[in-house]
Amino acid sequence: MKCSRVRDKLMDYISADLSPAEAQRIGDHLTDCAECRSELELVRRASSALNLLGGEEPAPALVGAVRDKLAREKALTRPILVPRLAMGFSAAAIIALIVTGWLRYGSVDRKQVTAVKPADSIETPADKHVAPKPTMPPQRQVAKEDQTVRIATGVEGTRQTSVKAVIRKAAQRPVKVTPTRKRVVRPEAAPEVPETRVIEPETDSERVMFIAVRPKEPEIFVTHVDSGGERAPTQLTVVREFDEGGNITSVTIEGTALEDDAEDIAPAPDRTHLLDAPLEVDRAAYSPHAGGSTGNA
Amino acid sequence: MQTFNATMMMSESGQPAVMETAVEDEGTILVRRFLAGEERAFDELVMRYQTYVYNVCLQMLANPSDAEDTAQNVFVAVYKSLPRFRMQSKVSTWIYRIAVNQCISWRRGRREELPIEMEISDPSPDFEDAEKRREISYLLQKLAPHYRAVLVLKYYRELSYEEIAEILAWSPDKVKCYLHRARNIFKKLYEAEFGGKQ
Repeated sequence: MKCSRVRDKLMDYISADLSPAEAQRIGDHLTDCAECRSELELVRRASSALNLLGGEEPAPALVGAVRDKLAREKALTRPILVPRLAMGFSAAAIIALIVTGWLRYGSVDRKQVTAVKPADSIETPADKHVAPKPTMPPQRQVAKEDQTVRIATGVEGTRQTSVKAVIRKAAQRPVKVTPTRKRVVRPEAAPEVPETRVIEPETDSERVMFIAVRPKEPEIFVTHVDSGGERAPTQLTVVREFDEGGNITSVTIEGTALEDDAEDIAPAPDRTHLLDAPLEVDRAAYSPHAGGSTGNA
Repeated sequence: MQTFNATMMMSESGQPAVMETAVEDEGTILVRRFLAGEERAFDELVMRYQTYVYNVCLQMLANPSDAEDTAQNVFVAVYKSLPRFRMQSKVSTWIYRIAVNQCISWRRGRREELPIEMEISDPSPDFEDAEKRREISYLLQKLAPHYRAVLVLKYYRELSYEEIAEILAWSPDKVKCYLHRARNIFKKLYEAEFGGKQ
């Protein structure tokens, strides 16, 4: 056995974390090798130092402080959308919505992600004074085999948001999503409207920016996603409800934890710049006359 | 403390044998009481785990004030997540997972900051040990968060590979691999810091 390999294993050897056979081989080597024996002394001291971690410091009484924090958070929480709906939606409900959308918009490949087209029916104050532009077909992107999809707006000149969509098993459980802050966007700078977005939380309770549109009132929401300490990739979905005339009646953001097979969750990219960046959008896309294949029958 | 169901059975040799089946540890009972509407059970849960959580945070962050703040956040997260806790792992494992994740997130936010010196607000009577612990905790801060986490869970909590794997949501093999690397990195740091002394 080479000295380098023995030295690499010495910490495990001292910690009795090797198989008997391997420990035997290292023991035999140490008998014959003075240099490795001297290394063993250092390893022994380092290992003893680590064992000092077993000592405990007395913990401060945390109950009162935790209760205070909970009370403060409770006082600050002001759900803006429909958190009960977001909290309560089960996987079955989401699937039902997908099926409903499928039926409504015709046969769409499941791997296609419907391009996000601003709602046809949204009428902004600016629209009253601006003639509608010709209809633009919405973009569609087909998911690649690696299931990375691009979610884009059908609005010319807007940013595109690319996310790694995790189309794995059906959603496992609902995640609490509470909008904690909103910013009303000027109608002339209405934002793009991603339908679905997958985040990979770095913290147990993550703030994410999400953009949603309510009738006549485009808004950016900073949502609070509470992944319950498990940090599963979480799919945020905009669920829009329409009336019989095809007008949006409500918008809800749902959060759903997805099955995570990966051992490591990649750090979530910093998206805060999106919140501060100027939002520019083609107003006409928000006009009642903008059409497209996702339009309402 | 664990409660057990003891069932008297006859072994093959005809001697009575006691089959012990672990039913629920105290943490699980507290969680069930809380979910049944007994708010006070959460306070008991905090009191039960605060020392462990605080010390894990202290080893991970090497600063009593940060450790206390993070430990509070851990229990706030626990409180909010309890209604969705599925009882598929031990309560302690679940709480440690939240604690480790909170510490790692906290450190990420302050990657550049390394404590000049770890403070111990209430040193142990054995001052020499306390001093050594302070030095070791300082060294730990030089490790990447996940390496630090496996060392803390292994040496402070003396958990098995399987338990650490459950907390970090890794495979036991990955834990073993990380522990091996973490020990060797620590050894190098220790050698660089203390050399031949001690």
